[in-house]
Amino acid sequence: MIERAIALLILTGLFFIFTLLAFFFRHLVYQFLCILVLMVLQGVLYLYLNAEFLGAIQVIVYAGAVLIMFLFTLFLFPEEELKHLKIDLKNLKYSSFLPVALFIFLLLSVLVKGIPESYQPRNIYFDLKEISNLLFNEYWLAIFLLAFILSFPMVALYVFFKREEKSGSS
Amino acid sequence: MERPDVFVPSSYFPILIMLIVAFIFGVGGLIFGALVRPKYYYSLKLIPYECGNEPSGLPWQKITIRYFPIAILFAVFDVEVGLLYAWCYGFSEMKALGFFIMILFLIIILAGFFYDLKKGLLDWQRGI
Amino acid sequence: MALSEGLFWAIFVTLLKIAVVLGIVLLHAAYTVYAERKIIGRMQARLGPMEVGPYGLLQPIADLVKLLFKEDIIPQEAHKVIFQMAPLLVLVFAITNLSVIPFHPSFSIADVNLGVLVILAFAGLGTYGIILAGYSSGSKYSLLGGLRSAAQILSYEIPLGLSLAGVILYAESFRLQDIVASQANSLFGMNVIPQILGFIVFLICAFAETNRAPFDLPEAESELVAGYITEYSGFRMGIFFLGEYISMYVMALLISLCYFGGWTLPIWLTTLLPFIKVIPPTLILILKVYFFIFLFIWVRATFPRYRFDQLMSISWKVLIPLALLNFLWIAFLKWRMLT
Repeated sequence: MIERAIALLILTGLFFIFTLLAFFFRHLVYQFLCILVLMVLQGVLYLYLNAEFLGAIQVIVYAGAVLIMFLFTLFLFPEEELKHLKIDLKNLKYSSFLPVALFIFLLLSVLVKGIPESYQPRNIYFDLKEISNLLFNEYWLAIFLLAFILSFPMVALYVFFKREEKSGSS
Repeated sequence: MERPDVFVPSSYFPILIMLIVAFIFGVGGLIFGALVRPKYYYSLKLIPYECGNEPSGLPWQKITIRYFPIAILFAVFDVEVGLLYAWCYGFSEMKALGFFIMILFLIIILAGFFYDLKKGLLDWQRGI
Repeated sequence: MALSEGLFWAIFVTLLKIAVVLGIVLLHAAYTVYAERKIIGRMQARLGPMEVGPYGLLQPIADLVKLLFKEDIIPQEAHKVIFQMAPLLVLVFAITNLSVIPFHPSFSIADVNLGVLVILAFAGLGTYGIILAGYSSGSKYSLLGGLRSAAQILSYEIPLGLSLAGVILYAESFRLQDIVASQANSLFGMNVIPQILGFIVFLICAFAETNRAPFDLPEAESELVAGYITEYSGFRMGIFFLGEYISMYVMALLISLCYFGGWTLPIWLTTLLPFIKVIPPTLILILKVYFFIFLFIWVRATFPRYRFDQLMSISWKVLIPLALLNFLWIAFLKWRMLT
């Protein structure tokens, strides 16, 4: 058991370090790299909670696909606008209040009450076969809605480019 | 329900070791190379290559937006492939409803995709 | 409290396995370069490397020594940290892919449930190495080449995943050992017979994913110099090529495991030729892998390079519909088999 605790401690430490780095880098691409590491770490956290499929999908979809979209968006800007970002400390203070408060609250509650038995990793087990059957047989409406949500950006993409073309030609 | 007491990450532990070994291999090669290779730098050697001309400005100016639709379509299809894998894994206990909802899902996604293809979003010769 | 003894023992065994696999694969990667030059030379009616050692057999070692003794130039304009890290990203994720691949029914470094997904995830992360190498070099050719290669790899990852979905559906497992076992138990003995369409799609995607000819757009000298490798020199450039050759081996292994039954032979072949059973399983796998490596080289010597717009249209307009067709066909087949 002690190895698992050490692993979780290291993981939490990495989360903390890269979150701080993401705040304090002055260049947007470096900040982006920190977020990439955080996404991969989140996949590892899922893996730690025995949800291996979720972890793999997290790395493939978020770290592999969505963040590449972000990166291509960053490349649309010239270099001067990416570097020497000013950290707005006043804004940071307000926006970071909620997560920090939540973190302290959770830490205190864990210290006072201890982790409930049912949240310990060995009691959580994701059987993908069961989940897949549940998802596709019972919650088919969610899949149906997801299909529309996913096809929306494709149509929006064309509309967006059509407008770009008009504004570019005029 | 009774669950087996398994800790899945322990089977992934060798991958972490492999990652570390691969990293050490790469860095070790570079460090060994740094010990033996010559270092005669002068400023002419350090300017970026531009076919022999003086480089005209930095490269990070403005990149065509052509790559952007590819990234978005890739994200959409990645989500689709993830769902498809989950569906494949539980296929043998799937009911007819589960079977046909996936077919419907694929048809809706493909309708959006063929719309983009038809409108020429992925034709590179045509200016958008 | 002391750490359990079992953990250190497990780490030791894993390190031993990694040493064996890495040694063999690196040796193969080095000599694939030699084999490639030799085979392409013969196909173009010349001899290939002949000077270093008998028949030029020591050429890879000479190349390695030369790369180590070359200067490591970091351009002025580059983002230094990203520039130095990017080749390592490519190499590390290429090597790590080897850890989930079984070389024998009972030998793999990590025996995980999600072998295929782990490979796809690391392939996705390896793309960042290429984009960041292009971005951080501070040269126009690098940036354009990096973006092009990234777009190429992204576009070909989707048909790759979709054609693998057919294999996963057939085996109902992500474990590569299970995929091989399901093929050996099936009627055809190999996935390639019912899924010939998926195999063709996978093969084309494997060429594109590894940046090999005819899809070696980043190395299109006439338009992009050397793509994202333009500013790299010495051992850092060598790392890119090492990563490319290792991922070639990963792809060849994946093709032979997923579509050609890995270390098993189809039942109809063993009943036809009973003496073939004595071949050890690993040798069968290795022979299949050698064939695909030869195919990689053969195609490079034969086909001309595609244009970039052709490359994009092949992926989006041909391969994705074909892969989906293959998937629907397998789903239909499986559905009929179950009911």
